[in-house]
Formats: sequence, C-alpha cells, structure tokens
Amino acid sequence: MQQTLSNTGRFRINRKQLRWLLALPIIYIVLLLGQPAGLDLVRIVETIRSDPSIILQQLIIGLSNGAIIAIIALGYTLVYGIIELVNFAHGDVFMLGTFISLLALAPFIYLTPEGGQAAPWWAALLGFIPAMAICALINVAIERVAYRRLRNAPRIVALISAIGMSFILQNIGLQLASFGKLATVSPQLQWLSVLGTNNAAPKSFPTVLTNDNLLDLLFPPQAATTAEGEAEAEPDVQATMNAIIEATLAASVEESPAESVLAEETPAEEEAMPPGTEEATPEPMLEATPEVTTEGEAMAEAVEEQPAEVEGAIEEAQAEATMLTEEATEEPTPIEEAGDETMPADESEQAEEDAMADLIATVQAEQAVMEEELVPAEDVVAAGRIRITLKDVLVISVAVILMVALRWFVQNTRLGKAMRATAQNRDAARIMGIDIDRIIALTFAIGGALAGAAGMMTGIYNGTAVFTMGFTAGLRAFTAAVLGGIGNITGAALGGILIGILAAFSDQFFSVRWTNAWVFLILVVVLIFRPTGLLGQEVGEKA
Amino acid sequence: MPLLELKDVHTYYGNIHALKGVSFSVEEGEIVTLIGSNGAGKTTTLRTIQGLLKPRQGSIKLRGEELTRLASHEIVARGVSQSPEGRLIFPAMTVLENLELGAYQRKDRENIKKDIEYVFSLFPRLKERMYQRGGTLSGGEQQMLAIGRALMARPRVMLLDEPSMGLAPILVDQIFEIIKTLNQQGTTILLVEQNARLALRIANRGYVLETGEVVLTGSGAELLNNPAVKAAYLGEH
Repeated sequence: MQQTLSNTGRFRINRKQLRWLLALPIIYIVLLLGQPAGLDLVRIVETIRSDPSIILQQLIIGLSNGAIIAIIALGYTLVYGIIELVNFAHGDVFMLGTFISLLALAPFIYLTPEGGQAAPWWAALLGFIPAMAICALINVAIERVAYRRLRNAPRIVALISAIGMSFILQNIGLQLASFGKLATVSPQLQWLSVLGTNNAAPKSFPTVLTNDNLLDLLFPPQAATTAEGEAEAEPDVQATMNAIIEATLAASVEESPAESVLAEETPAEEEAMPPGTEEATPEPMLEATPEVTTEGEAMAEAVEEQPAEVEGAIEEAQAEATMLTEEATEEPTPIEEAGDETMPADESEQAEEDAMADLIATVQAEQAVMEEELVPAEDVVAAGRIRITLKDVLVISVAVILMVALRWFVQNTRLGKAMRATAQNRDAARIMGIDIDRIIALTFAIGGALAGAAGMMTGIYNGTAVFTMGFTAGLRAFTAAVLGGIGNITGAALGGILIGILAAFSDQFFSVRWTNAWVFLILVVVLIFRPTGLLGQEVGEKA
Repeated sequence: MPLLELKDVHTYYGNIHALKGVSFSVEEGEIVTLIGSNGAGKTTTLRTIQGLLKPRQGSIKLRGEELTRLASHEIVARGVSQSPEGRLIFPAMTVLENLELGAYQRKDRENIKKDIEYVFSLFPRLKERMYQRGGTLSGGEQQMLAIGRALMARPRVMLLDEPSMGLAPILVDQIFEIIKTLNQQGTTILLVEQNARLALRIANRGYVLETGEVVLTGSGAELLNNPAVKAAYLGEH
C-alpha cells in the first residue's frame, strides 16, 4: 500500500507536465494527419447535408456495437476492480465464446430458399447458455492456473502471464477450427462443417435474424405502393416460429432481391462482409452492398442505388429459376415452399393470423420501447431511411438486461457485496470471513459469462468468428473500460457505448481503416485530461 | 481449557522474524491486553491469530481446536473477529452495508437485524449515519463502525487493534467504556494498545511484548504498578 501511494504521488506530478506536453503534439498530429485518416470536414458536412438521417442510423449501429463492446468491457473492469490485473486474455475468452456460439448454432442450421444458411432464433437464445457457461469455466480456469499463484507477485508478472494466456487461447481458437475436417467423417458430424476447412479463415454465422427494417413494417414507406398488399399476403407465408419472425419483419420490396444478389456472391454469408475488412468489427450491417461501403459514400447513395441492383438481381434470379421474380408473382411460390417445408398441413390459417397479430403487437411494443430509448418517434418516421432491425433490438436489449442484472447482483446480493468488499480491501474482506479465493473465482466466472454472451451477440449481429478477433475486440473493450474509469461497472458500460458510437461514426464519416486510431486517440486525450477515466472516482478511493 | 491459546508462535515477514515464540492465553470472559511499543509485534500477533499471516512454527488453539492451518474465513466462522489496525472500513459502502458484511458468515437473518439494532444502541452516531458511505465518516465514527462490525460476527473472542489510535481523548474514553460494557455482556476481548495505561485499567490480565517476545505478564493492576512497565510504557519515573 505504501508503495502504491508514493507511486501515484510521483505520477501525479508527471501527469501535470505531460498534459501540456502531450496535448500540443496531439492537436498538431490530428490537424496534420487528419485528412488521410478521413477527417475531411468538407466531405463530412456534405455527406450529412445530403442525408441527415445518417447520423441517427450510425447512432443505432454504434449503440448495438457499443453494447457488445460494453459487455466485454465489463469483464475487464470487474477483474481489474477485484485484483487490479488487466486480464489480457479476456478478449480471447470472448473469441472462444464466439466460436462456442457458432458451434451451438451449428446443429440447427438449415438452408434458406435464397441459398443462405440460417438458424432459428430460439437456437440463438438457447445458445447463450452454453456460450456463457463454458466461457465462465474457461475464465475461472485461467485465474486458477495463471493468476492465483501470482496474486502477491509484482503486478508485471501477472500481466505477462495474462499476455501468455492470451496467446494460448488464440492458438486454441485456431486449432478449434480443425474440427471442421471431421465434418466429412460421418454424417452425424456434418454440423461441424461450419468451422470450414481453413483454420485461419473467418467462419460465418448462419443468419439468425434478418436485416429487415422494423420501421418499414410499422410505418410502410410511401414508395412501396404494394405495402398494403404485402401486409395482407404475408400472414399466409408464415408458418413455423422462425419463419414468422423472418417474414413478418419482412422483406420489403427492395431487400429480398438485394439479399439474393449477395447470396450468389458469397453464398455462406448473407450479410456479405467485405472480405478484406477486419474481423472483429465487421462492417456496419446496413451496408448490404459491400461495394458502396467505400469511405465517405453516403448512405443515401447506397439506398438510391439499390433499385437498379434490385432489377439486376431480379433478372439474375429469374435466370437461375429462384423464386424471386416480381413481388406480385413471386409470393405464391414462397407460400407453397414454406408451407411444404415447415408448416404442418393441418395448421389452420386462422391460427396463423392470430399468431401474426400477436407478433406484430409484440414487435410494436418493442419498437415503442426502442423509440423511447433511441430517438423521438417523429424523427424516425420523417427520416424514413433509417433501419432498425431485430438484431439491433436483440443485441441492445440483451446488453441492457445483462448490465441491469449485473448491477443488481453486485449492489444487492450477499455475494455481490462480498465482491465489492474484496475489491475495496482484500484484507478487510478476509477479516469479515469472506473467502476471497471464491469471490475472485466468481468474479472471473461472471466476466467469462459476459464474454460468452458478447460472443453470441457478435455472432448474431456481425456474423463472423475468427481466431484473431479477440485481440481487436479486447483492445477496444479495454479502451472502453479505461475510458469509463477502470474498476467502475457503470463506467465500462458508458465507455463501451461511447466507443461503439465513435467507431460507427468513424466508419461512416472518416475511414474504416483509421477507426482504431481514432478510438485510441480519443482514449489518449481523455486520459491526459482525466486520468481516472470518465467515472473513475472509485479507484481513487481505494488508494 | 483457555478459550484462545498461543504457544511458541513464530511469524515472519519475508526474512524478518517478527514473532519469536509468542505464547499467551485468553480465558473465557476476560479482557486481555497486549501492550508494547511500535514494532513489538502486537498487530502481527492479531493478524496471525486471524489467519492473515501464517506462522512458520507454533500453535494457535481456539477451545483446543488448531487454527494455524485454517484460512481466515474459516477462522472467522469459528468465532474470531477483529477490529483491525487502521479500521479498514469499506469506504465506498454504507455504514449499514459495512455492518452487514460483519455478519457475512451468519445465516440467521432475523438475529442479524437485532444485532444491527444492538450496535446502533451502543453507537447512536452510527444510526444517524446509517446510509452514509464509510469513507465519509470521521475517525471516531470509523472506529465505532469497526468495533460494531466486529461485533456483528457474534464472536467468541474479539480482537481489537488500537481502538484509541488517532482519537480525541473524550472519544477514547467513550470507546473504552463501551469495550468494558461489551465485556460485561459476555464478549471475550483481546485488546492491543499503545495506550498502556488505559488498556491495563480495564484489562483482567496483560502481556508485555518486546521485539516479538512476551517479556512480562500479570494482572492489569500488577502491570500498572510494575516499575519496568511504568518506566517504559506509562511515562512515569
């Protein structure tokens, strides 16, 4: 304790000088290098003027990605809070969580009529259980093997152990993929084919929820003259639960063909991530057409370009004799197909319509919640082009549930109080009769479970798993934790969402390649002027 | 059989031999005090009893049961609680939460509530500050909280480490009054103090510790009148 006190004392003096020394060159570098890094104010202003709704759209995307980052960041902050260790392996636990999520979904994968792979939504919800449980175990094991004995060693020793653990987990992730080769051995192992044959290649998730815009469903766009007809026709299409979900939130005229285009280009990935972009934070999902994601191109353009592509897609689709021809004529076909494949013949249409009505009601309710959270309803309607998908709703609500649950647990339960006590003063906690080994293990378990949940959320939202993803995601989440004030739960949540939004805006307005640079630049600036992070008071109290 | 018995306890900090064969005992219902100057090993003794430090040699027995191999939470479960040196209040938690943590090992919720009321009756100031964070309390209030928190475990023996440290004389008297009251109500107390006069006045027996060894023992009154003690610890000549 004595030592840490004198350390912080020395640091404080240095920081005061450093602030000025660091701030000046940073401002200089921003102005100098900002241009190539996408800080082109003229273009940015132009983009925003041509379609102001982009801001809202990126906010939604940022919120969703930020929610995932926040959930990972909680793991860093919890562990740091309790043993003052930056668990560098945490990002890789998240990576393994993504792989476990993929494997959990694998047995339920089926082919969509468009030729893509999909999995039912309930499989994803169930998949949270193994992902969270196994990641919790992994994290507890890491603590037991790599950190416990080093608890009283100098901090750098544990830190190096953590970095070593990170490499080990990364290689486990790489080797995990070789189980994909077993898929050919027997039909029972066919589901392992999701792991592919190339260990290092990104694996794509099946589509769990569609990219369809909930807003189109609730407020049919004026352009779509057939919206009403669709709405009537749709109930017939729906059959099983997943079919209901997917088609309800359905397929606006523009989208289905666009998806079929993508399905051709990259059969496995309905979302069609541009292959070159980095793994952990794939492109914002709204860019359904990878080519238009080149930096700075306005959403508006992307959307306006679609009709042309749609026509092209329709032609191609016809040529290939897929069912997509024109909205009016295509619908009977899917009805029959869906019916044949998934719907028991004796199910009455009335029941389906009831189910539909229920579903629409629930979706509307969810929508109402979202609107309250995100933006005033009028804005959404007026903007029209903003897209909020079920994925956004799911990811954000899961994150909110997890954060609220964690906060409740830490604030109100006996174990939660023991966790806080251990974080504040380990010796005092022991005097209270708290078994701190157990509490530390519990903390790692919770952090691991959150990483597992984030893995599934990423799978649903961004749709890829690759063995290096833990590094980037971990770095961003760690940044988020530091930004919010490491050791502080609310801070981690706030930091995660801020980083997510910042990254989304950087992807849109600056340059995808420079997003990480911008993220860390903001981190540096925040740390220079507020070294404990945005909400980082609690750490100060500890010393 | 003594309630708490130490026999030839040797404790080290790294290579520093802090306790060099400490032996003493505490009988049920007593107040026993360890006095000695800074660095004599008083706090080390209490930390060793509590299991925060492991002795290299010797035995610590609570009613005949060996404690040296147990983890500190197991020692707490057997009825040893402590108001530690520096109080170690949880600064970010409320007074109430601090007290609740004192009863961490107990499952009898109803009695815990009663005991919290009991602590509040001993220290009315704590009741006023019930929802205030521990870190915002004054030194005296923190000391009250530390003692109250130790009481919450319903200990067989309560270890008090320097309860008078850093407190105004009036507060010290108050605290010692309460220690006496607690003892009269049946709590066995092992009191470590630098303020030897005060400690010996309320103690049944005392032990004098010097550089990790017990050099003198006797009843409170005997030690108060012992010329060596007078010279070394009571500031009399």
